[in-house]
Amino acid sequence: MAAAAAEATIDGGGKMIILISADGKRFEVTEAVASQSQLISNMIEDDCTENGVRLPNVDGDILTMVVDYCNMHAGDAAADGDTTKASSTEELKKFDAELVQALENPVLFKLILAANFLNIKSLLDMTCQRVADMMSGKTPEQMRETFSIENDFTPEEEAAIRQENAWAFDD
Amino acid sequence: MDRLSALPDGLLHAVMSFLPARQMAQTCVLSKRWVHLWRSVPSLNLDIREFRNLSKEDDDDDDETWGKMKDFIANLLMFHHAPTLDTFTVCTGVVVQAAVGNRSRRNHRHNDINYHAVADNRRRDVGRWIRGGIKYCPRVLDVAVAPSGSGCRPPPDLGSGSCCRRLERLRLSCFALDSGFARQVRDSCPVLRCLELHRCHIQFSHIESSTLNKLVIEGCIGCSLSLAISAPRLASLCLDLSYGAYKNGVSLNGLNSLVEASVTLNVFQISPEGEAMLLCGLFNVTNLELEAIHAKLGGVLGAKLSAFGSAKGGGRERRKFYGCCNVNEKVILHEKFDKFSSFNNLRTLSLDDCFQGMGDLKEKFKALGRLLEKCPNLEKLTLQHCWFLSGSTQRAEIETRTSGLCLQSQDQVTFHCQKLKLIEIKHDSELCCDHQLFQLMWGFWKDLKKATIILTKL
Repeated sequence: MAAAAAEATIDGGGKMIILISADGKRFEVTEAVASQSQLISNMIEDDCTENGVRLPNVDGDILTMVVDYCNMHAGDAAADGDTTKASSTEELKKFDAELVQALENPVLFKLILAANFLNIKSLLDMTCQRVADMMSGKTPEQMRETFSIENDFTPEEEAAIRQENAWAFDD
Repeated sequence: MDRLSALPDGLLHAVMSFLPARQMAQTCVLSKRWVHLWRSVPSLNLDIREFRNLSKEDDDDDDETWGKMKDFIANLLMFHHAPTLDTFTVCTGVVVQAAVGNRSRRNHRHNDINYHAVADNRRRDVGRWIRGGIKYCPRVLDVAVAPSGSGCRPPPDLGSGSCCRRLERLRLSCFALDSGFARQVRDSCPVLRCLELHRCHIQFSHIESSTLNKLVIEGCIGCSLSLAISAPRLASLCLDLSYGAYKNGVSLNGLNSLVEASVTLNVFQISPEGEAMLLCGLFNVTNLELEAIHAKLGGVLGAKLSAFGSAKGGGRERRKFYGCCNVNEKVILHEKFDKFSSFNNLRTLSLDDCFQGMGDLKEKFKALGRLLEKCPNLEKLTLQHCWFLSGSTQRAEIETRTSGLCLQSQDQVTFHCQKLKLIEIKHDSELCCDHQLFQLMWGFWKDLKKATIILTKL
């Protein structure tokens, strides 16, 4: 179907491949950009990206963010020796910080799942770190509140757990 | 179920790996889903700051704080049952001294006894924690201990046998490292790729590894006369020996894979010959930043070559200039430097705080010319806080010269560097001398008409 488009090449860049989200949105990216995903990188190596890569676990809006991220970071590995890159390291940091700060609860977790599924380690680390930062410095009660975690213990059960792990708590 | 708890165990473990250990353990009361998750998190981050009493203003780690951490770690290591660890981190801060000091003030007569007793106990505790962590065969081991007074740094106990078989990254702060440690690195760490030593006492004189990719030695005190580094796979080197006394120099053996390097030397200790030798050991680098090369009357002082693009915080003190020094030769102009091969791969060179001081201008031009000659493929050159002397005598001297005389000095030097495309000159408007700036630009322009010159006032 999309074989022609998938085989298309752009000037100076590598082959283009098509990513298809769960809701059918299509994203055309270079192989260099896509292969930051270990999953897709393996598929490229196995030559099975010709008809586009279907990602049934990833929604279009999340894939948009992932593709943006990958586009921004495409130069990371490839062009280390590029002397003009110096300033864009700053830009990248800013981009990452803004991306991760802007993430709200549900989107953040969807992005973690997508990063995990696509196996993009830097994105996974960054998003997991963000969740840890949201937990950090909080008491268990505050953590429950932040993430709407339902306390399914009876008061007795909770007291028992606290007792058992008293060494980890202040009292 | 909420979205966080709905993540699979593996991803929750990934999240929890970023938490300090105590908070990680406290997640056990969140809900039933979380009761046992913490037990198999593959990273343990132990940090004494988690045990400090927040209401207290100072970071004094008294016995109470230390005791809390000790109890916690004992329990954690007992109940945590991941088969192996990715990361094991221990940070005890740097405040043992303060704790001991306060107590000592109260009881002056027992000063020494208390000091040694507390330091000894704490060292033993740290040793026990490291042994406890290393049993999990971590991939990354990061231990920073309190320097309980100079000379009291403990040797790290990395255990024997195969505990280090998975160790890829080892980072130690404030330890004493003897030849036994170097042997362990060579023989017992088959996959070690990154070794970082901060503020350690370096007692070994040879470090060798067939796998090491990155080596950082920073803020360390060198305790021997010379240091040899043999690591054929090394790509990145950061060597800060500002407190070292390597009179006989530092030799880099067969660093054929080196891409980036950063070197700081104790300029008062090492000879220009030793320094030239070290510079030449870096022949294969692609990106280089030289900080504080002083081609001045007294000779070239410290060379700080640091990796282009390595983000260094402002934490590091920058050497400004040195009042006077009696070394009589210059590194760049040293015959040793001439004999070594060129920096054929070098494409980016930054000179920061170099060629300052009161030296003869002619010599400075000669040194820069010689340096560029050694870099045939250089594309970008940055000069920051360079050239422009800081001493008022010199400025006065220069300013009294006529421009005609000045121009002569660099006319004898030709800058051979035909691939150079971009020259950036960043200078401090206060310290800058227009004459010198003009000369420098003229010097470049005369030989390198194709290059773009950008001038920035900082």
